[in-house]
Amino acid sequence: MRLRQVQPSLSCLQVGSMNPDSTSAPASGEERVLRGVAAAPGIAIGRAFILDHGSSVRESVTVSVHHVADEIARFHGALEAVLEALHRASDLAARQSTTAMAIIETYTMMVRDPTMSDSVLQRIERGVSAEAAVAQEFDMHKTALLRTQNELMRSRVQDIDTIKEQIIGALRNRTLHHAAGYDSIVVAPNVTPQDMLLFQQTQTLGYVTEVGGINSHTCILARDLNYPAVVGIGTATQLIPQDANIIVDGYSGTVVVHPTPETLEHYRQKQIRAEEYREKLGALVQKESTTTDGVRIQLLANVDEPDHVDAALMTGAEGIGLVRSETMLMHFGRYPTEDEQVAWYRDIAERMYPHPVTIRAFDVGGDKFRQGIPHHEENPALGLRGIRFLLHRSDLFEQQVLAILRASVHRNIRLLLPMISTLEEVAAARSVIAAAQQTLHRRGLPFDEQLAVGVMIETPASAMMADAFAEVADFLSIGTNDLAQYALAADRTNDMVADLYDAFHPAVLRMLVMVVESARKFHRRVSVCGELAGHAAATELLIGLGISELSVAPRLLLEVKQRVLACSHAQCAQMVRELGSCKTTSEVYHVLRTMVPTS
Amino acid sequence: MIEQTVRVVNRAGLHTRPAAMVVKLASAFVSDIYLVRDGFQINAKSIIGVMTLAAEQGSTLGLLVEGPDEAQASAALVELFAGGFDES
Repeated sequence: MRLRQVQPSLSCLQVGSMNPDSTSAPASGEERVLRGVAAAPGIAIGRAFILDHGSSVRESVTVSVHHVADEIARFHGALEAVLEALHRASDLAARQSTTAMAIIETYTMMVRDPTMSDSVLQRIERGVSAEAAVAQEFDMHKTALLRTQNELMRSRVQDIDTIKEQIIGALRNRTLHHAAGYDSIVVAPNVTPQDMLLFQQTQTLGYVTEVGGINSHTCILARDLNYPAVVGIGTATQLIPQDANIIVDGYSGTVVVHPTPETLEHYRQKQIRAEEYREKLGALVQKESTTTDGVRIQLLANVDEPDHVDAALMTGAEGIGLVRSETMLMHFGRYPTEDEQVAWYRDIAERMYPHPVTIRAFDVGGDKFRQGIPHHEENPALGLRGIRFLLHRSDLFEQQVLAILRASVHRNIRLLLPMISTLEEVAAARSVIAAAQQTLHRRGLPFDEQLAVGVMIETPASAMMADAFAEVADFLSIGTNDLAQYALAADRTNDMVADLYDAFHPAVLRMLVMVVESARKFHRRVSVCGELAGHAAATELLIGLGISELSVAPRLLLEVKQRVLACSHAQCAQMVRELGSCKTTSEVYHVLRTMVPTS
Repeated sequence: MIEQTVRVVNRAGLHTRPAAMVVKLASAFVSDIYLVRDGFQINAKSIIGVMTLAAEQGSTLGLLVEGPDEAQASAALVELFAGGFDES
């Protein structure tokens, strides 16, 4: 067995306070306004916490005498954290393997090694940072071991490295936990979704990053977790001093460094108004979402795990429009068993009952978590992902279909196939589903015989052939993120081309029109569950297109409902007709601005 | 202080498991316990130290024990080395 890494995801980050270069700017000074890209709405007012890239531990990193006590405390804390992790691992190992137990015991002894800790403490007292002291100490032993000729002895170098990495990893983790206190705003070159989930535990207030397109998973997660965020401020970690007071305006994409009392007051007022607006939205929960001219628009929520269903219910969602089942892979750290999946799906379906729940089959590959794909691809976005992966690993797919069918006993589950580009893929998926149904018949287990199977329209091929897909699918669901990315051949997470990525591009809009018309022809429901559905100006556009099902993150649902209640379907349809003649994205925006009242 | 010589008799030498056994036994005593090899002295209660000794089969180590329970500690460790760490 493998020991759990204490803190793998932060290994690429080095704490800014360790880097004298990034803290050269004074902690107080003139008010400065930095402009970036608004990535997640909201106002955050707090203290800057600078994270800097650190390729490897800097051996020469020194600390001033004032910080020696802090460094010692950090070191002790890190040892505790590693011991805790080892303890948890030994609980697991106890049931599995005596060899693993022995290794964990040795590791525990290494972390508790009195000579090692004395020596590290001496180094820290001489003014070396905790990370560098640990690295120097372990590297010294490593050098000694490498001198021996005995292979068995030399192989112990791995153990030395493992423990060194775990302690250093824990040191960084603890730094974040201590320093990124509840009033801090993380300023970093980039933040990964994993990092963000970790920061969530430290109650960070907001984010400023140097890179990151607004549709990267990081930004999507920031919006989901309700963190105001501004991205794309090129040298943010140098422009913003450590511990400086800063304001992050996630509505306008600006960051104010060292705000004057007047500016601070202005933003506090803005923050209060935003809060009041949210409360006002609360009154909309019970209202039926109908346009002023009486067209019903179903509002559903995107919810990935059972625990988040409550949030959807609280906003009055009429169903779950998208369950990203691959979330389970992250949760379990592996492919869950059939029974584990049944429990997960059934929990969501039962909590939402009688509302419908659309479960999208595992969509792995692309820029999503690649767990379980054991090979490297040059171009994963065009590679083995979505349905292609599912048909490639039909064992996993059939297992998932079995689980979804078993969970469908209340008849409120629908199955959605991701990344479809050919009719053959739908046929192949249908036969996997039919085989699973046979299996359940043999096992004598009940399931929904009429389980609806939908096709995700997110490749240009499926959009162009939407009529063919509408004929064979029970419903269509448009994934606007990927559709726009593939239509415009622009990676939404690549800064160099992210400006080309825009779901409002006329090419994307024409595809949407085609899909909606095809669905209408075959009387199929068509929903939109991409980011576009939650985009402020897009509500009117999608209604005008004739889409009657929108699925958005729960926290956006009431905002979308407010827009639905305020608009007329006839006017929206008129706007879409005008958009038909637009040739550029800016023309589209112009029409939207003139037609849609800004909120 | 008791000064003695111990020999590594087991085939694999003082690798991880025997090193852990030495450290566990040494840590059970109050006395300061050191192993010496080629003039290089390490704390026998330090697993990293014992591992980095990289003592192979046939190597001879100095054993230094000093403290209130030095007699018992010394005897116990000599016995552990002589027994080849229960390796067959």
